[in-house]
Amino acid sequence: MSRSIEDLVRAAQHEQADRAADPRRILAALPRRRAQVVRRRWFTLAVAAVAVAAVAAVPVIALQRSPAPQPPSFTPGPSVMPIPSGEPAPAPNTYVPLRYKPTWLPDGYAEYFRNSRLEGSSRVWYRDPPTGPLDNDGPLFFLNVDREAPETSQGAQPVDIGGVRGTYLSEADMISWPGGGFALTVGALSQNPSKATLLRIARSVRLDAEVFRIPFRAPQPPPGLLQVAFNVAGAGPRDWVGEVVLGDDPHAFAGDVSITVGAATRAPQGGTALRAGGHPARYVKEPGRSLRYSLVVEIGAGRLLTVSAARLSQAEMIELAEDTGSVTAADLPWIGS
Amino acid sequence: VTFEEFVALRLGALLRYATVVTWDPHLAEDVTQEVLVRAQARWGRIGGLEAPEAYVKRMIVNEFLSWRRRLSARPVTRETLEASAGSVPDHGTSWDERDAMWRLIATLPARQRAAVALRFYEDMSYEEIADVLGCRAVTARSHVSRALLTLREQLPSASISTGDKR
Repeated sequence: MSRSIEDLVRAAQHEQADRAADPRRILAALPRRRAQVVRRRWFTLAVAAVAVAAVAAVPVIALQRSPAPQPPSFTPGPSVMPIPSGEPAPAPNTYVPLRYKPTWLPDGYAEYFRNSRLEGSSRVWYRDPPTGPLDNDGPLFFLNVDREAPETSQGAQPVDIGGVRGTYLSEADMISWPGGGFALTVGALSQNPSKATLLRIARSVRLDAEVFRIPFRAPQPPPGLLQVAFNVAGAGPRDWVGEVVLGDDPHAFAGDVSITVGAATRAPQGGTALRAGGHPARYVKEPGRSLRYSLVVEIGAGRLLTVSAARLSQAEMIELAEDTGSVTAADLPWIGS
Repeated sequence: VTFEEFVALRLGALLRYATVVTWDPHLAEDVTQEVLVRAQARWGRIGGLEAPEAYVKRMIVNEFLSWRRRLSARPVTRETLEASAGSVPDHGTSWDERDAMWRLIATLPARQRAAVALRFYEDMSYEEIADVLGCRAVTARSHVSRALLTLREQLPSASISTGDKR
């Protein structure tokens, strides 16, 4: 007997519903899951800093253009890709106001990672100098400056930060408080700092007029994508990797497309040799079941440009690479300072 | 209603709903957990709504579509399908029909599958689906129509009759 397509769909859906997991298992796992979610939400940026390979999971950023104050003069580096004559000039250099910095950290910590996103920015100080621009690891402190406060967490203790009420979350080694219209958060990863140490860092936070230069011109996103994040990680002032993340939702955690320029690449070895923008390049699939491909272009001066995406064609990735503009700040003196 | 009361009363239904939306019991479990944790943190507001369950269900759909983005639109895999396959109650269709339909729904794009779940499992109007998916009603209708067209084209013709209810 033939049935309507709607009836068949309904029958399949009800059968599928019968495959649902046991609710008791969900209930039993909720407390642990809650701890994971709290930690992840509060730590998203720092975790991304620890494993820069995961920067695509960093939330949103929008890059502030032009009106920011002009920093000291700099010498533009070589073009990442040649800009065809007749094309419009590169977009203005992009700056991100950092707004705040801690004026005290335990001995030995230096800044090796910065992030900017729609709702704020992050800075990360590591104890151990990275062995390479993508090899950040080990104990760290971070400062997040967000436009919105993190969700209130159960178990947070009230603390005083310069006369302002903040919260200390011991399970996350983190202190958050309002300041200047932002939610400031200092925290730690891969270590167990005392509450007194975190309080001292938080109470040392002051306004910072420094602006953070995006060290290369981001390409025009393909239709349907927008620039959602920018990160810079480094092992030294000239040994850095900058990354622009493109995604389809400014409020999603993930960006689908990553464009990095710098001294290293996260792409696997090998792949198919080709040329992009007149430079030698290779096109390689991520290992395992990943649907992600990377286009790695040798752009000279020891720098690599990598476009990594799961849903773009090879031609679209080449187009993105060729639209990526000049390196605007070869030296990033904040790295390691 | 407190969060604990809500969960005690509605968790089973939420899990079934999430399983139909995601078409993957494991992902449904993960999405539901994630949503419940977030809902608990905001229960002071959600619990005061006229229809908290509808709100939480909307969170499930949004979380699922967000997951899809995070995983770069990973399709439901054959392994997932086969792992999910098992003995389930017969809801009145032949095994071949059920199996074919079940596998075909798994291949639908995430947004279409969510729209189909809202339309036929939740019996929502296109306006209600549009509200959940954050699109216009005409777009919601388009998602469902395209999904049905795909299913109709792929299913053995003897299995189905026409009769698209509006």
